[in-house]
Amino acid sequence: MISLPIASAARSTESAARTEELVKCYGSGQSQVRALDGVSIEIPRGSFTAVMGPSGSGKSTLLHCMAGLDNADDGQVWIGGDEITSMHDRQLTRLRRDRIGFVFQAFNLLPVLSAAANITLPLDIAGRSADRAWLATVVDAVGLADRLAHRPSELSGGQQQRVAIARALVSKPAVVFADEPTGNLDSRASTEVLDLLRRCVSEFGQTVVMVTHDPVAASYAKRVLFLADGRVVSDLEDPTPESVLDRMRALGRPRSGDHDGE
Amino acid sequence: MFAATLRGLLAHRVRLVLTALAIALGTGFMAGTFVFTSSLTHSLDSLFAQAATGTDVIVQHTAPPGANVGAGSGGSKPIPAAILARIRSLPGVAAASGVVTGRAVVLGKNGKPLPTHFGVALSWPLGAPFQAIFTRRSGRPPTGPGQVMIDRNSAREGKFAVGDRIEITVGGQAMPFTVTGITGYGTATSIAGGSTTIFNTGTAQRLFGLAGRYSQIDVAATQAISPQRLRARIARVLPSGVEALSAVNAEASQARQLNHQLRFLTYFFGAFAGVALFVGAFVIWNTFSIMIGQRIRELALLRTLGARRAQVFRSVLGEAAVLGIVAAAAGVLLGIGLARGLAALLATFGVALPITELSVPPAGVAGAFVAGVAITVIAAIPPAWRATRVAPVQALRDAVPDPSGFSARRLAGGLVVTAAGIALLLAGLFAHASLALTAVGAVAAFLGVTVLGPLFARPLAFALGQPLTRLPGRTGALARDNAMRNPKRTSATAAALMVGLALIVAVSVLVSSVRSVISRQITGDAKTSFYVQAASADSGITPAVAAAIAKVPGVRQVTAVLRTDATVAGSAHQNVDGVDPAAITAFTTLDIRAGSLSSLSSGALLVSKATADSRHWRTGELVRIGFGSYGVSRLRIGGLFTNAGPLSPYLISAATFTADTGIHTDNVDLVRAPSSARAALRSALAPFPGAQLLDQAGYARSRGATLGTILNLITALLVLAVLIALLGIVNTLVLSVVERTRELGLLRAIGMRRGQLGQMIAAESVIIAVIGAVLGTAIGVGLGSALAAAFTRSQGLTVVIPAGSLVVYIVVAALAGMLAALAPAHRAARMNMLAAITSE
Repeated sequence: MISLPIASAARSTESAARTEELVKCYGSGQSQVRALDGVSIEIPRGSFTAVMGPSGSGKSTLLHCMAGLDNADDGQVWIGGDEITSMHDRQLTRLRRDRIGFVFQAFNLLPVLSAAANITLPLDIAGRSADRAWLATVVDAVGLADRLAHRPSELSGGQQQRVAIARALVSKPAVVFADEPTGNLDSRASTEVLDLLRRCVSEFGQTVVMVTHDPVAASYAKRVLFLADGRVVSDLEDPTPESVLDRMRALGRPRSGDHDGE
Repeated sequence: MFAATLRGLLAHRVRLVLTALAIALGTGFMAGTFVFTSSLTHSLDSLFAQAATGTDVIVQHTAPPGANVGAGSGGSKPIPAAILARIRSLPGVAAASGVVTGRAVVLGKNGKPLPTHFGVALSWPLGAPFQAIFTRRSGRPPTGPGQVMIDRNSAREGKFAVGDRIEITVGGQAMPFTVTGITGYGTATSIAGGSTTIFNTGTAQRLFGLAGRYSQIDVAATQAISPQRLRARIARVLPSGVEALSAVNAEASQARQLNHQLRFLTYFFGAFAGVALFVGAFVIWNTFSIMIGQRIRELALLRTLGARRAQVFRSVLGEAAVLGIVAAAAGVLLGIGLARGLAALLATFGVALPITELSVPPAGVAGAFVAGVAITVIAAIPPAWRATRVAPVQALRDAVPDPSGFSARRLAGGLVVTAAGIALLLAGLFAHASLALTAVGAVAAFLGVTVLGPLFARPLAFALGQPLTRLPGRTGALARDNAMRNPKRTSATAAALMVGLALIVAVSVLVSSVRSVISRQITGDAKTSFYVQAASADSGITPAVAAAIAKVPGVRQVTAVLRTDATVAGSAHQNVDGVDPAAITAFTTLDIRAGSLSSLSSGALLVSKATADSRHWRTGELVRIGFGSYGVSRLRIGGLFTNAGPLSPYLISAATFTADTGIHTDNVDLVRAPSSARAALRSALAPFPGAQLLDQAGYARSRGATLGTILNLITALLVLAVLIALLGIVNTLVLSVVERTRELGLLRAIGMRRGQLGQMIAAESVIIAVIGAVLGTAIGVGLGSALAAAFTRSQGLTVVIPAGSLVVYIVVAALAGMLAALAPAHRAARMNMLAAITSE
């Protein structure tokens, strides 16, 4: 097991998101599964982090708990300086609205709204008007200026995912969480989307956390965290598809000291 | 495949219950109608059977078939006392008693009539057999003037005990009595729930102007003779026009006649049950359409795996049949409970009917059950047909609903059906006076508008949703988009509400218009300044009232109008008025168009021109008027008048009236006096608590009050249809929430609060409800205007649209829409966000 440097209180202001001994269980009794088994990670500001792991390793659960979509059973999560596991539904909703951006595998756009309305939806829900200059920057970055009036059903998969990314960026969130953002896309569209996510980090200083099982997708990140059986088992800086694949192969081998449940 | 159907039904319990309820309510209403009328029949039969207790033969004046039982203030033609003596002398007669009946109202200790709906007065019968019906007596029967026995019900309500002083009005005039006895009636506490006052024979004869005469004679046979033989023996000594009837037969035939008269209630309630089922059919149709839409992949998969179209069709109809059977069975049980509810509802609106026992007619209940199942299956046929059109390849594709809903075929078809419906409706109203044609036209027009619905659902949702887009957080705008995304669903959901509301609006337009005509007739003719009439329905006022008014200083003139319920040229329940030909034109302008007013004095009949036109009568023609047991008069039409004012469409002179009907109580006294005479009039009327003094507006209101009651009753009955339509909205929203699970989850994920989510669903519900309300109001105004025009055209075409009420209806519909959103919004808020986002 690889332990990460313990974040000090002073450093927490520099990290965009942080977890401390995060535990999440499903089921009860004999059939209980620890989806997260004491995860402590730190996501620095302006970083692009990929979370990898085999099916059932807990990577999606980690993302859901960090993003305030699901409740952890134990441990803490900070978004910026705020601890969120003690928040009520209303506070969490506000947190998601104002400080977190989401990109999902299935795009999850509202079919009744145009691309433009989908992008500004988080602001509309909050009852705020968009910062026009920022909106224009975002629309320009995702390259959809000429598609804004279209409905999702009139856009390709790649275009829909770019709308979703623009929606995630529009409220200048502390973190954008992307859950298998290329899972429903062909390789060309995947490349576009991953390039875009990387540019979000490099050009706008956005913090991005991406869950993926694709080594190529993971290689776009600055750092890759590997999860297995609910624990962070490894990490990799400046990954390439090959190095990610190697690390995954290495992790795939049974090791002594593994807990039950494999 | 059928097992899959059942599992599908049981998997969605909320939907099952809601959909089933939509049909169960309509079926219940129909079953309730049959149970109600059957119970009423049984109750009346046993009531009249009780009335025959102890009596074997009844002697009375012959009443021709169709004569009005117990209606009007006439009662039956009296029989001379000499006949009683003749009967008593016959062998085989154990006892014979002359009975006097009339109308009297018991006043409570506060001087106001008891809240019973009618009052029957009887004379105490002589002879033990006839007294047996008066059960559980306390005190003693009346033996002299100033003595009265009252029923247990009135004694309880008025807190009267034996020995108490009591005031009773006869013809509106209060008279003091002492309560000498209190009695039950058979197994009941009073006759059919009304008040019963019993006087000794002499007092009753004096009170009702029947000195030396009786209303009927009751005879009991000795052991030695059968009632049939005694009846024949008595019949031989009776003069012509008087008949002897076996008491059992006579009471049974009275019960039959009354039941016959009340049969309209079956049609009346049945019509509303039909409306409820019709609206329920919309809900079924819509629910199945949505379910088929959501199951397209599953159906396509079945087709891919080799299911034939017929199997798909049968599977959907099978689901509908199971649902229909469950719902109709629940409805039938509901209906049995509802029967008493209908009786209570009628009582609330002043129509008290004696339901003493509950009777469940197997045929009627089975009919309601079959109707419920059939409606469900029929409503599911179009969606089932659409299910068979699902191509196997659709298993692999995402279904994108056509958002426009536009098709030239729909437009043309809808317009043709609507136009045909309107044409039939107008033909039914104006050309053929056919209720069936009108109803078919109305149903066709509703269906036509429903076909057209998806075409204007989008623009309507856009326009009506406009104010909601101001809601913060985009919830209103999203709601509007959601209402617009599937115009077929929105319009079908709104259509159910449209039907119920259109009928309510149509009836209220009709009633406002007719009320306006009545009010114009009474207030437009300003000659009569005051009206005095009986406070309780058919008791009449004594001529002493007019005499008292005439003595009031300031009163210029007073005239009495007599009124009876008669059968005119075969149509029952027509009002015929007796007026003073010399005085009447001083009170109202009749506007004679043919013949003359003076013909009244020679015994002729004046008919309103509108009535004469519709019957194709001209002056000089002879008209048969049946006055119950007083027989049939053949009267010549002496003239036609156009302005009935406060009068009925048939006028005869007071002299003819009294001679032909024997009625000696007035219906209304018309008074010409300055308004300053009001106080003096009121004090002159103090001895007559049963008479009420009204000015023009008050009289117009009182004449229109019945219409108001009918409007309220009809509205109350149509509210059920509206409730069913609301169930439809709930159902649609629940299905939509399930369908949009991922969208709702996303909205929550990106920061929409639960409250905002609820607001969004409520806003969509309000938009759908208001679309239904607006369409319903528009159709209702059209339908109501047509009805009002048809009804009032003979008296000056009048269409009054009660704008205030219409606004209230639409606002109530919007509020009801919010109410309908409660459950779906709760469900959406409770939804697991993660499952919502990740569900595929």
